[in-house]
Amino acid sequence: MEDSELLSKIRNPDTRNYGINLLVRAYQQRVYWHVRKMVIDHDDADDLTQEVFIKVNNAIDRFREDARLFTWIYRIATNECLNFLDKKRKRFFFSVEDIEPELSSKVDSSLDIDGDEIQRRLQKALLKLPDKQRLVFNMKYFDDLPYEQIAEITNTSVGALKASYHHAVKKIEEFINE
Amino acid sequence: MRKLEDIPKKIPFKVPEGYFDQLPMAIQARMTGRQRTPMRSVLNVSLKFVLPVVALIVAGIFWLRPGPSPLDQLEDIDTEQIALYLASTDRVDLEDVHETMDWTESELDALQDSVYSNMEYKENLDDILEDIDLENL
Repeated sequence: MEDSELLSKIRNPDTRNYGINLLVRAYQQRVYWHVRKMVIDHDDADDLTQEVFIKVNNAIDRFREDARLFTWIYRIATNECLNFLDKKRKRFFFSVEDIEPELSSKVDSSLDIDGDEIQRRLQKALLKLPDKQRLVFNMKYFDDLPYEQIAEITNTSVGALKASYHHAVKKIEEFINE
Repeated sequence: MRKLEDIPKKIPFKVPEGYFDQLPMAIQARMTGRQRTPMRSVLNVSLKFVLPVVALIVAGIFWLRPGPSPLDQLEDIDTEQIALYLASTDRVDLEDVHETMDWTESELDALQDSVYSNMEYKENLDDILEDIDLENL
């Protein structure tokens, strides 16, 4: 279903709930995986994904269609992830450690994670990157999003994104080969 | 040296079975739950701000409430307990207490009698010198 058709259903009070349900079904997997790669833990990703769609529902009347619906939802999801990680980090404020070891240990021990050793190692290498660089890497490497779309989501220039991605790749390869 | 392109592109995370079938219902339930309870959220916010203010006012009332004066409080204490306290503490000098009291003439005579009645008056200088151990001075 086209975004315009979806939006017209949502904007009609008689079909709003149906429209929102269709929107959730259309985008839930992409949003969930986008969030999950950032927060690692399934329960956190589940909670954040639900929160993203609640925010989408609350703000959809203000969506002006100057961006693609998917880009707009991705931006909300990205903000939710960054806020979540910031809050988590504030809880560690008086601790010497950052959240990276906690997330890294989840990669090692969680039952919701499989994959071979090199894939776990890649995930742990990603956790060494700053949050925003990790986001850019995930969107480019795993989601195959074009730089132009990532630029729209993150409100950054394409040039800066390219530099960030190549820098991230270099750091990841260094970690993997340690 | 291993390069990133050598690693198979795969996300190693799993979700519980049927998770994406149930997620829209969970989201819908949360949305309707939030829409139906605006009063509760207003109440929660009110309680969050009103309760601390009320607690502060109550604490302020207790703090600023005039209590009994020190003299009233002293009257409630048994005289013997005060005497015992004064005798056992070095914070208050008994002479200070005596100076601040408004003695009558007869009270002063009685006090003097009680202080000096046990003292033996010796008029003779030799008697006094006999009592002093000169060798161990």
